[in-house]
Amino acid sequence: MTYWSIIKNGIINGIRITWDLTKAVVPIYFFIVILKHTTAFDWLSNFFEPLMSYFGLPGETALPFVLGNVLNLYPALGAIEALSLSSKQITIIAVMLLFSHSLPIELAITKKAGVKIFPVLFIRLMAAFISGLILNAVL
Amino acid sequence: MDILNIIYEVFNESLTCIIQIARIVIPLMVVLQLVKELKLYDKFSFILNPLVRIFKMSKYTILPLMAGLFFGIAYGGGLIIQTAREGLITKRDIYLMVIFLSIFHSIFEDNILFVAIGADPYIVFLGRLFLAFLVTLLFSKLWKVKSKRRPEPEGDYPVLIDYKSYKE
Repeated sequence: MTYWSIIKNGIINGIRITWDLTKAVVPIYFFIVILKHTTAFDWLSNFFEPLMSYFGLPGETALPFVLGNVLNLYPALGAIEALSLSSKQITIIAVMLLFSHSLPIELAITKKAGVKIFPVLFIRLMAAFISGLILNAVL
Repeated sequence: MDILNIIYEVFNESLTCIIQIARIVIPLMVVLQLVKELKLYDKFSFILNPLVRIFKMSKYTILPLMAGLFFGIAYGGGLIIQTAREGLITKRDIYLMVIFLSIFHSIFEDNILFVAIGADPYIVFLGRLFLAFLVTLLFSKLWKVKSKRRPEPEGDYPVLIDYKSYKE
């Protein structure tokens, strides 16, 4: 394999990721901007406010957290970008999501490797919540 | 707000975000592809030696760990399955590897996506590394090494297993 073909494959991979990202980010962004103009957004925000405030986050950040965990990080990125968050809030939600994301896919791999799903799921969610609490207190 | 305004806002801002990420992700993927194809991650494996020693894991876990750290849990998981099939590692090794990698994997790509939209790079990287270390350490202390395992490879580097049969 020549250097050029490796570099070419790298560029193709990068473009593929960017394309996947675009497919996820644009619709989610659109959805959230529309949602922002409805009363459902306020309702959702108020509903999750008590929980997310532990992590120093507004209620609506429950959206990227759920999207990131149930789907993957790309739609979560779109949702974070569409909500106007401070840099402290972006760092907190980023760390929480990095601990716990793409659960259906990644837990399936975990199981394939011969490890029980429940302990790994528990560890990842706990890591997300505890890191959120700590970062909110420290930052 | 006018619907055309909303559409304009959505495309303008979401595309700005994507371009920002693409500018970092595409060069990064070129570097990672070089690392993968030229098997350069073997060269960094000495970094994991102290870690593996602290956790009392087999040296055979270094390669799957390295692959998971660089390329994500799917690739690392594939190598874990392969290594386990060769009978080189114990159940304890597998559990500790999966716990460590679940918390800390794909350290370039995933982290950079968030850094590109404004997260603090040091907190994102070091925070994750620290917690992965702490949790794995806890489990490695709780789960004592009992079973005898195959003789460990000599020296600091892991013996390379033929992974050609494994497809990503």
